[in-house]
Amino acid sequence: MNEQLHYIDDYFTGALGPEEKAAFEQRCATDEDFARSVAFYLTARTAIKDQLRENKTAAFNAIAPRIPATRPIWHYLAVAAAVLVLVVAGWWLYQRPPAPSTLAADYIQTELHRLSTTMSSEGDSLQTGIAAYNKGDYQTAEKIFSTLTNRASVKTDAIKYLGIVYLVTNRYDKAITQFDLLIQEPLYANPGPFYKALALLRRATPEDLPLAKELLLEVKNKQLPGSKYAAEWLNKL
Amino acid sequence: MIPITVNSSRDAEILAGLQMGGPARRSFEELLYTSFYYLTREGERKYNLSTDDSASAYSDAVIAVIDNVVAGRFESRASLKTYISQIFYNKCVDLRRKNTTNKERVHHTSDLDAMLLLLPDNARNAVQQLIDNNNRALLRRKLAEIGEKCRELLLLFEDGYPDREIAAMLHYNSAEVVKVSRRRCLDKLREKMPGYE
Repeated sequence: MNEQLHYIDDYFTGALGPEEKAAFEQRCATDEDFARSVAFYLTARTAIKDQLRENKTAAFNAIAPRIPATRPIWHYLAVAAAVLVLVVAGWWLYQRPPAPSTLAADYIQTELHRLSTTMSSEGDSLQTGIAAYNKGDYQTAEKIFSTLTNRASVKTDAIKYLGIVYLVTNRYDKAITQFDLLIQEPLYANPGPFYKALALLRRATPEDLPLAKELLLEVKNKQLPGSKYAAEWLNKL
Repeated sequence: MIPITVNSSRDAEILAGLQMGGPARRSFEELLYTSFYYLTREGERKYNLSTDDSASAYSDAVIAVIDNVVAGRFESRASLKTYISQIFYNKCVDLRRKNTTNKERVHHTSDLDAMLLLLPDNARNAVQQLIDNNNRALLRRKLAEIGEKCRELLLLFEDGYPDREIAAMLHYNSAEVVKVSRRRCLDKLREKMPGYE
């Protein structure tokens, strides 16, 4: 084997020490035959590099992801159509009046979440029921209010609260029964019609909506408790 | 200034795979290639290159990045995307200039130039004058005549694989055997060249 080749390869692979390197470089500048061998070595390695690059490029081309150079017009049209559909759907959902049941549910969620405490001479029992209700202990609250419906002094409140307990626990038939009793009570501002309308809107049988509307209209016209909501909901129903 | 570190797990995976070497390196080269292939679209759009030219510039950029990572010249001061984008855009500029004018490529440093730069001025001048570029094309043809194993050995070496890895990949007994065999293959190539026999 050509010994010069070892020497040249050692130089370009960094295997020579500083003195040997200096001698190598000196020889390149002074010995033309040697310089020619170095020139050949470098050209050969460059040619191999060229070949390597060509191989790699071919291998890369074989795995190039197939992406279209430019996006076809239908792509943009599809995106625009999708955006339009979303905008229209969003607008429709936003504009659409809420379902009657949703109106009632929202009211129950926000206004009947807690009952305000009342002052009465027989308040202890009623307060206990309200406290149980406000803690979410509807079972206890139901028992207390149910008992109190037989006590004349708190009967009206007990009926109302018992109806509310049934309302929040989704027992609408029982709630309606209580609110019907409440309606019959001789009150100056009877909340019974409004609460019954609420229960009807939640129960939402086909007959319930017209009946609920009638009650809300009555609440609105007679300025009964809940008239503000009644007026608002009547515009949406 | 605090250097930007490699923060992408994909970057870290690719870099580790390239530096790990061995036969598995190929799959990480392909992962690198496919990961940023979408840049070719920018070559077409920003530099008005044809699809083929943009893909070619991108391949060159990927190969340059691989070379730099394997040789330890990539310091992870930027993300791989930033790094490859910069090299790719330079390649695009070169191709654009080449397509529109007769000017030399400005961002291209040939492999030959890079090796010549290892020599000091006086030695480089002496060697440079003796380089015959016609030999390069002939050498490419002769490379096909030295046998599959020799060719593979030389290609792996130029690809930056150390001798010990080549020994494992091509089933040589040791790195020393690889070194001797590689030189023998180069000698074989020289003997096939007219005027160097």
